[in-house]
Amino acid sequence: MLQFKLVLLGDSSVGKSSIVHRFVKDSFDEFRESTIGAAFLSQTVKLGKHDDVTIKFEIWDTAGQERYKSLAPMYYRNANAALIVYDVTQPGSLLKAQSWVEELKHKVGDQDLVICLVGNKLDLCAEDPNARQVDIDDAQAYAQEKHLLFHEVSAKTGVGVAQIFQEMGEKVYEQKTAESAAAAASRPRKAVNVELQRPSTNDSTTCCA
Amino acid sequence: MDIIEGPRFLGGFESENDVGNVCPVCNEVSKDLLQLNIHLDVVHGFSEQSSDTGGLNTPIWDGNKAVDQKRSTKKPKFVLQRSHWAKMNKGQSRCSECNVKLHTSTGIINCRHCGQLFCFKHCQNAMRLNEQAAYDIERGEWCRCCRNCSLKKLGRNSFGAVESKTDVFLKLRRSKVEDKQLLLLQLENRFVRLINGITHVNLKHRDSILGSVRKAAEISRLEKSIVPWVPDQFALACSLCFKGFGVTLRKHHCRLCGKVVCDDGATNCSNQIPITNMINAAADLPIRLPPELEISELSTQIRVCSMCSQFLFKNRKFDAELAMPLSTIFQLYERMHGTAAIIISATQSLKEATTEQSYEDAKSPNASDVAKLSRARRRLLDSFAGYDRITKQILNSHARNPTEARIQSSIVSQASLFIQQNMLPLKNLTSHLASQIESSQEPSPEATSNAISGRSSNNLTIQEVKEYRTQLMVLNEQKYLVENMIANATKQRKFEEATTLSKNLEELKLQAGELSNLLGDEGFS
Repeated sequence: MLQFKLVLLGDSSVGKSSIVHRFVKDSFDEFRESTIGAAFLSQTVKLGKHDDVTIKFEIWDTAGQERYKSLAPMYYRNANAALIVYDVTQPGSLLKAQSWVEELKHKVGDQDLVICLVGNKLDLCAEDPNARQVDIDDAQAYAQEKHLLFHEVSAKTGVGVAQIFQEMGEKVYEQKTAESAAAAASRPRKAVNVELQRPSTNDSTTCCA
Repeated sequence: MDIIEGPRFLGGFESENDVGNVCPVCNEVSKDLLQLNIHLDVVHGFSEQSSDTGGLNTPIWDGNKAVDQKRSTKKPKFVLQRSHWAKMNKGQSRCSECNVKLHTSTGIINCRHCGQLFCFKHCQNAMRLNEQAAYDIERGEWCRCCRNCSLKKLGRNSFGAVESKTDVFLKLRRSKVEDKQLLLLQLENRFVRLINGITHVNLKHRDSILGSVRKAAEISRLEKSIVPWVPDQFALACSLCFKGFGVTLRKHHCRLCGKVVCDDGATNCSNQIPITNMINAAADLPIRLPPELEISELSTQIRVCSMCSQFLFKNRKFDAELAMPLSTIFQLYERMHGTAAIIISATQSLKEATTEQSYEDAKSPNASDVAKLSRARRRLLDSFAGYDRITKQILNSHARNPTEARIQSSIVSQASLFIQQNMLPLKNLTSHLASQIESSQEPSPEATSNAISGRSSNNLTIQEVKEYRTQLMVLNEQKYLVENMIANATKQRKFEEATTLSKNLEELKLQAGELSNLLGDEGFS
């Protein structure tokens, strides 16, 4: 099973952890405490587009508070995907998200990192249309300009959360296969590639992983 | 507070012989006790009274009514107020303590003080009450009361009666000390006489050829004349270590106390001590050395038991050591102590000054205040330097004995601790100060000096140090979190997750290591 490292970035209290928990456990906690350091979760995604291939996301959910800023580089380094989250009711959080995008583009080569801009707390807009402070068109325009994926979701209702991961999974999978194909093409024909390590199945029905 | 409650007074015998059979009321003399008894009953009408004395005041020995009557005539009968007593309500009253229904088998008793009803078990305390059922420690009679009342009574404490024994102790101690001093005086007297005698004998036989033989005999006679020796046959064991004498353990006499002691090297019960040493050790005693005799000529040794030598010389040695000038280490330590006091007070005042400053006008500190503050700061830094210098001197000075060496090392470690503890707040203060100066529009020369001194040993500014420290702290927190996550993943047999996490842990450790290297001495110890 292919594994991909995914990192969540964004201002504090925009709902990074909530999105992850919606994705991983399909649950929502109204009174979630702010994350300390970085939390780790993993979840598999089935890709319908590619013959139901299953891939696995290793998700690092970083803390948004300024204090933990120094931890982020460690987690976005070598990441395959980054989810940059902002709060649609907080214009400041989009600015923060943009600065994260800049940092990623600056520090990590953009060709091997799939970045997705996510506007969270859509449910608040549904309740009260005046609550929206960030226009969807602005954010979308920005995403297009920077070649990012873009979604607006609600972790509370679960709207759009699965789609993000689905789309990101497809994107990283395509990238990976293209890469390996290129590598295979460049490799001399005669080289025999023996897989020494048996791919481990993290299946609870078998006793030996 | 000393509270002394006397033993419960139940009455006392008075000697019949002393008083005679005199009626206490009318002084009429009776022939014997029986007659007096009858007289009292008939003339003074005590017979009814004594029959209903029952209850509180009944003495244990009812047989001797005469005595009881005598007592009760002297003292007015004690009648306790009962109006406050709770009424017994058959089948309904309950014990106020254990809430059991009261009947004859449980016992039904009013607490004499609070008047509430109790079962027998819960009304077993006693306190002194006056007739109004109030607590009266002096004139009250012992009355039954409940535990609660007894606990609440005035001046009660949980550790019982307290009696000051200090005076008794002091008296005992004084007499002991006096004994000791007398003993010391006696020993000193004997010692002086012995030494004087020996020097005299030495002088007498200085020039004669057969001197040494006669000298020994004469000294031996002298020794025995000063203190009577305990006869050998009475001593079966050493009087100090109680080891039995035998062929290997010989008997010796202490020349000062005359007791028989052993000469065991292990217990050091007695030693041959050259008298020259002893004369030097006890120079304050009135020993008359003949002027024509050199002290060094005296080669005589006398045997003294460890008890006597301690008695005679321990205090003298102690006094002598006290009188000696302090070693350099201690002299330096005294100076160091003074400097430390200066540093502490200066830090305090500087801290107060800076906070005051920041309250008053955070935006524009005026130049004179800043100058004053930086002067104070410089003074403080100077005293730190002085402290450090003294510490180095202590470290370099030579210790006279192992004890001093230990003290020396302790002082040095304490000093480094002190510097660490007091330098840190100072650094915070200075950074505060520096930022203030930077914020003021015109950079004064102080600012540059501050910026320079603000740099620590490994070329990090205070800001950087702070930043790195937070980073290190965050990393350590994360390390701890990841360790927990690994443990959890392993428990749930999610080994893939565990390997991913372990990789991350390695990374974290690496980065933490780098940061601590960067921080160097400024890191967390």
